[in-house]
Amino acid sequence: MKLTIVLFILAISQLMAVGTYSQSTRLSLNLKTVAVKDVLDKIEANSEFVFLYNSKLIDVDRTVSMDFRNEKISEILNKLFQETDVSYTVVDRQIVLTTKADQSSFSRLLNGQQGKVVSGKVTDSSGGSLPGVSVVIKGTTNGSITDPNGNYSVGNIPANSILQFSFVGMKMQEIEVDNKSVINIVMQEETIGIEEVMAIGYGVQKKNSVTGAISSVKAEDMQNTSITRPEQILQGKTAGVQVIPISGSPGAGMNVRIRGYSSNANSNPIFIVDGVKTQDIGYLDPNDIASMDILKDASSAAIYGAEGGNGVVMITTKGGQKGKTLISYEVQHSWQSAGNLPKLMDVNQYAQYMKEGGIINNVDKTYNTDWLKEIMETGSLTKHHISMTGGNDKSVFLLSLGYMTNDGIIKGSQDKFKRYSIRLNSDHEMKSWLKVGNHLSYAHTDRSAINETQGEFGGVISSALQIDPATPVSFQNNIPAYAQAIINANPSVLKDPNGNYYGISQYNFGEIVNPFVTMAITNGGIYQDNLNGDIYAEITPITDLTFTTRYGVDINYQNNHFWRPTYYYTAERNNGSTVVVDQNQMNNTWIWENFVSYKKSIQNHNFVLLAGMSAEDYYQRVTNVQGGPMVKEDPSFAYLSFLSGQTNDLVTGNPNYFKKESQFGRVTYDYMNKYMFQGSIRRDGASLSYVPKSGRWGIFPSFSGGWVISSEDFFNKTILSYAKLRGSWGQNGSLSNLLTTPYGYLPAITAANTGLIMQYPLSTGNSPAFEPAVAPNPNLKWETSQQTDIGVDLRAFKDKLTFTADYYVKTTKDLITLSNPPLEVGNNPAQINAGTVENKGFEFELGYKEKIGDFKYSANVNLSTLKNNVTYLDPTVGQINGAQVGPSGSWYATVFEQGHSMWHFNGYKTAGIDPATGNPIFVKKDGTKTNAAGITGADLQDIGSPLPKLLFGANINLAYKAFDLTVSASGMSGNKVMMAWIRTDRNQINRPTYFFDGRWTAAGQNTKIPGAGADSKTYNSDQIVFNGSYLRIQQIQLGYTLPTSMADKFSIKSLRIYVSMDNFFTFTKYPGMDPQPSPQYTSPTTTLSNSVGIDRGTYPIPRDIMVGASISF
Amino acid sequence: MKTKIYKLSLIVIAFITLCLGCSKDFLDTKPLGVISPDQFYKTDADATGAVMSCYQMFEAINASPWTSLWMLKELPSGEVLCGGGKRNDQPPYEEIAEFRFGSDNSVITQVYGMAYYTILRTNLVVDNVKPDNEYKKAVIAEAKTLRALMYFDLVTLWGPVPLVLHNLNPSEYQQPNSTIAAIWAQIEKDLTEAIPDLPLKSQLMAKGMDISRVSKGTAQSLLGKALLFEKKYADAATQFETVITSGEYGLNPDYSQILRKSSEWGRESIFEINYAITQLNTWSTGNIWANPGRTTLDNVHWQLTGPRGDAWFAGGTSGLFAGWGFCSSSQETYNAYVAAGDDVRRKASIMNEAELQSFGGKMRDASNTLPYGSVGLIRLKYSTWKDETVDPAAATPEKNLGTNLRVIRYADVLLMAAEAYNQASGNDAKALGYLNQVRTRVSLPGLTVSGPALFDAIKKERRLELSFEGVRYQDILRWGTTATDLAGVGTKYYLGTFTGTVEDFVPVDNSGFKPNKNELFPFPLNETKTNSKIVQNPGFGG
Repeated sequence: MKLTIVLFILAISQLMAVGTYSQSTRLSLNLKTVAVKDVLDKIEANSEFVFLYNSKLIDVDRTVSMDFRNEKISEILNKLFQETDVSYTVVDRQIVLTTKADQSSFSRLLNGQQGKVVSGKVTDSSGGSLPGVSVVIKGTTNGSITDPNGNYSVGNIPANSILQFSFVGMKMQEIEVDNKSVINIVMQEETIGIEEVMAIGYGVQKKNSVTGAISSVKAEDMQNTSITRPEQILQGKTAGVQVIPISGSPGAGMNVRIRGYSSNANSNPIFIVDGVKTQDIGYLDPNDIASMDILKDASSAAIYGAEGGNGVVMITTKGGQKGKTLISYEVQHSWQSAGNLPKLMDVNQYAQYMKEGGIINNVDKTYNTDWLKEIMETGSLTKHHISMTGGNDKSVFLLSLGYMTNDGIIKGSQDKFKRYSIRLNSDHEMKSWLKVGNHLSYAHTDRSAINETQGEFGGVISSALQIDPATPVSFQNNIPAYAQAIINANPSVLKDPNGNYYGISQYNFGEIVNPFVTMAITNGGIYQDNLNGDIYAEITPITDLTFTTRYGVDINYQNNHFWRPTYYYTAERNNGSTVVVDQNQMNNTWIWENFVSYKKSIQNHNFVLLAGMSAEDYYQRVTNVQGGPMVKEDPSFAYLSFLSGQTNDLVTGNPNYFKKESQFGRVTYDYMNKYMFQGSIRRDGASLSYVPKSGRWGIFPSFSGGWVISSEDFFNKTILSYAKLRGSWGQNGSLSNLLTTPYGYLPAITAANTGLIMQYPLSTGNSPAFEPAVAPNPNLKWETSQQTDIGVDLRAFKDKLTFTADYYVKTTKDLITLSNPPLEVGNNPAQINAGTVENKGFEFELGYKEKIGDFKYSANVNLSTLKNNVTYLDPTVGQINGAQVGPSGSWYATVFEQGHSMWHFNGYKTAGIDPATGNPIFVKKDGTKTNAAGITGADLQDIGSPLPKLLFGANINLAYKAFDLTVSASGMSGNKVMMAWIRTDRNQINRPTYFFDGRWTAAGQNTKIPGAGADSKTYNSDQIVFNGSYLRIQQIQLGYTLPTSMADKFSIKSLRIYVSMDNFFTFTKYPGMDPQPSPQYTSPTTTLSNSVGIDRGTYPIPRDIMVGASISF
Repeated sequence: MKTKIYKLSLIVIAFITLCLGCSKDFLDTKPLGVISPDQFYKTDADATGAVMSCYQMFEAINASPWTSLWMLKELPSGEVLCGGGKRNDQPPYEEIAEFRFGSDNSVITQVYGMAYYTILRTNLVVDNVKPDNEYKKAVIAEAKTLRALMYFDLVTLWGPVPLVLHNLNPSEYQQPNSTIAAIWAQIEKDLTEAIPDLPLKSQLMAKGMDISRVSKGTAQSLLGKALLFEKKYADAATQFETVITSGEYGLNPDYSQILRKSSEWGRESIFEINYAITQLNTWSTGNIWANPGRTTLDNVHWQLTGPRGDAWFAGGTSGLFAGWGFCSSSQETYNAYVAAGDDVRRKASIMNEAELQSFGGKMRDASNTLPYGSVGLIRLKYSTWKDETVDPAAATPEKNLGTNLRVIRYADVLLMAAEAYNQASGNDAKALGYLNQVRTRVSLPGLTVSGPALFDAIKKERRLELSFEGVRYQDILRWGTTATDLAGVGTKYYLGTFTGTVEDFVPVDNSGFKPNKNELFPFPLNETKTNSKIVQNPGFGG
């Protein structure tokens, strides 16, 4: 009867437990002649089971031999304790061992309630009752277990007793009984991350055993933020990672920099999603991600050899859970707006400035348009995400659906992004030796964007910055004569939706177009379908040996559809004939990987061996089709079937193939978890599309070691509870910079140029022209980076304080760049291995977690320093010209040269303003001062670096009872920003009031700001380079979680509602739009890599006010 | 059970081995759309394809966006005003027009670079095509002629440039300056070798070539011109005489039509660079901004240099449409015609405001101002002619101006012959005859002067006959008359607004032709940085 009650309680506890761990977990043991104690230790080490027993009562020194393969714990325990008087009780992950005799005292306890009795309730930190907590009188096996409501009662307590409360995942607590008869306990969760597991590539490793520099971002960090792309979360969360949005517009991509800028061109890390390399992770709904592990040092990344040179971001998506089916729903809505808009001159200031500068004598002040205000609206962002998980002993699954829609902060709905995503992850244990599963994700995205790609030459935002305030958005009544003349001459001048003509500037011309006209002629968008995923099989033919084969695909189909209406704005900006364009791309990658891992422990020596191979095939097909004119100029006719003629027809297209194959191996060793060593090697081969046969194989080794000092006997753990020293060295490669020009080394004769055929028009028709494609370079080889890292991990004050520090030196050699031969060579430059870049820095991460009563708080800060230097550049290259700013070919605003930070700003140096003229005093390269006429292009020099010297981030979480508050911030300092939309060739443009206030106006004035009529070289100088340091408050979020008791009433598991301000405050001294300008504009010479820090007037990162809720059943 | 598992492991291992084994040629991808150099230069078609790239470079060097050899020769000549939309529209062109350029000027850099792109392509033909039949011999001769033509511009504009005659290996990249004499010698050698292998213009089509390809007359005229520039007057006269007596060429009776599309490859034409309207470019095709002129068949500079539209120019029935306002006629050029009483050529070359108004057109905006940088004179040669581009319904007219650029025409040869005879032997009678042929065509009275007066008359005649055709700047340099002919050129720019009846202008600091410096363009800055052996031209620093 009494036993029945115990069992009843146990049964209830079992039901309440999260999952049925004991039912699902299978263990393999092969131990010969060992003590029972060791068997129990072994089980604890290899599972989450914890044994509770009194060693005085249970004979654990008895020797046994065990050989089990994939058996349930019950089987093992039955065998272990057969023919003894030991019985066991499993409560989820806790196993209580008792003797038959003991058992009777146990029941006596529950029955008799003799002696002193203590009762109480055990709850978790959120106030929920904890069933199944073991309450034992210290030093005995007497005790009890809490009931489904968390209540317990223990009787027969001797004087001066101590009660021990323990529960898996919680810290054990000991309370002196004294005179108390009621003891209520709040159990605290075990300190963070002790047994955290990290993805390390072709396997996982416990955080404690990791010897490389790996940072992790967990799902909790991603939930409840307004991020739309997974990369965004990396900003500010871990040291050494910088995220640079390509644009703030909805759905725009991101550049991620890990440990600086290691290559002259592409420095993006590779993304490994569930083990499969992926080109772009924009298809991923951040809510589907369980963790992101950033492999920063070479030894961690070396297992990805050839492509790990810029770091590796390992993404693990959420998987299914055995047992209970869980449905979670997450909803969010944000209102978006632009923060930090620059203050531009109003019409009076503009008129005065133009007059003073001798640019325009009398500006017509009829209108005073605040263009930035005019083009902005409140944007919206809505996200829904549902996930369902469940499973049984054999199979688990996760099914999730996500929907996101974002209409950005520019008027109209041309800046829009939608994503629909579906994910199905499942794992099946087919046999004891065979596990199969899949990760499958399908996403459809639909993105349209305002014109930004033209940079300072007619983008919507750049034009809004540049165009004068004297021009109205639309002419309401009186159309001025100059505009009337243009309207008369050109029937296709555009009208606004009210039928009024859009304002035409009489002062600004060329590419500077009324932004509403640019918006009106922009249409269409990019549809993308992504199918990503893998299927795998894990075979365990013998204990500890696992063979994995995995076939992954990354399939991306995209269609960019738009049409160009007829319009007239200026002589340079008009279109007389309609064109419909369809650009289709199919990108298809498969990766097949096979690897074997073997785990072996000999005494206290633990080994993991890994060997494998990988083959990868990328196939891209591009078809660009355009035609026109349209039979009727109307959006519903904007398709290729509705054309009145074939005169605007153009068809181009070509395939691209890239292939790779690799072999790799890794040895991981530790002795008693105290001394660790890891070595890996990878051999990579690339197809001829990248490199010639002679240089196509690269071998990338790495080594790392760790020493857990705190495990040594001599170590005093009173303050420091954990201390580990780490060191690593390794090599990685990078091929991504070769992708821009396949076969860019090969002597070849071609007639093609930028997708078209070169021809010469003879009287009898066009005749194709054949010429060498490139000056060949048979010696081209991999770009290689080499990195040394030393680090330390510390935990103190009972693990409440965590601290990690790293120092690294990363050297990237044989940078691939176009050579810069003397012009007499007369050929397109070859790709060559030309330079070396060094990045070095310190990284610190500090965390603290504490709980005082109902108040919980945690804080994490991270800081990293960065020093970047081009240590070598082939003398034949001299310097590499980078981003062009302003008129074509006239100014390379960034260059890559030896002895400087990479892609530093390259302009004229000035030394104050000449009080006599209002022009800057220019400094020649030899240091002498001169006026504007005295300097030439040879005096262009390093005027600052866009790269930050310091990156920092901070996250603070506070929780009090049901309320929680999160504040996170990130920023950088030491970086410079160039205000590149101030064009030298268009001096009638408007400017920020920065150039108006305190400017030079009359001879003899000492000012810091040049006069209105300053020489155009002023705008190729450090006068437009600003301190770009900033601190951004990424999030302030207040949440409320429904208490469990309330949730139970509504039959839900949990509910949290929150309000949040995301990216709302940015502190900076930069007078332009955004201190982290997005390098949207690209051209053959200007790339995302060499345009960092150049503000061409692109889409700012919006700030959000958000409300949201997450609920699970 | 266990055996099964071991079997399975074996299969797995076999699988891995198979995958490693089968991958021998897995990585051997092949480039598409290219020919290996050792498979090329074999057939007549290969030879044609290779020599077309030489012509194509001549097309590109004059038609790349914001880079044009023709502009580089016109802007400093005093024939045109730089202009554009507003001041600072195209700073590199303004610098050239005002003699303010340094070695970093992007137009100078790009033209210089494209000149050597052209030369490499001619070198490849000369070195790789085997002269094993008549056609291939002619192709090699074409390439030599085009190489000489390119070196002619290099030596006259830059002086002692490196003389590159083969495809360079990386070890040969550092090329020293050559000497002016050596470059002239090579030009003579190439043209002399080419002449025998080239068909006459009238035989081109029959020989499987094209009317627009290099003919014997092209090479002879260019050789004559080279010799004239070298002041080898007697030899020059011999070459010109051969061209004149060949009977292949004559003067087009209507001077106003000689540079029009309708007269392309007509009787007067000796060599032209072809452009076409057939590409039907729009703003979204033709890669105009992305790619330096390699795949577009039009010449965007004709649009660039048309009369400024916006609020100003309207063409009426003149046949012109609006351009972007560069390179309008200078007042001095107009005045030269007026002073000479040369009405026919003036009207064919420049349209004044009154004439435009007579077509119902206009040049001024509502506030009565002229377009920036113009004095109200429209350049008619290579202008924005509606009938030399596409119909707006078909494509974008301004993206398809396809007027051919005349490199050398018969009237030029006649005048050069006159100059050669006058300078060489004092055979003024012959000189006068050729000069008067040119004058008669445009209803000007024949002259009877001789000696230096005849030389002056020939110089004046060249200015009027060949205005805006990209020859005057090199003429002024070789005659050494920069002090008079370039006085005041590029020292100010006009604003289009008026104070009273006088158009407002702004003087430019540091502008104008500087003797002992501006006789040659500088080597590009990039060149001096990457080629340690190059010596910069005087006045342009290291």
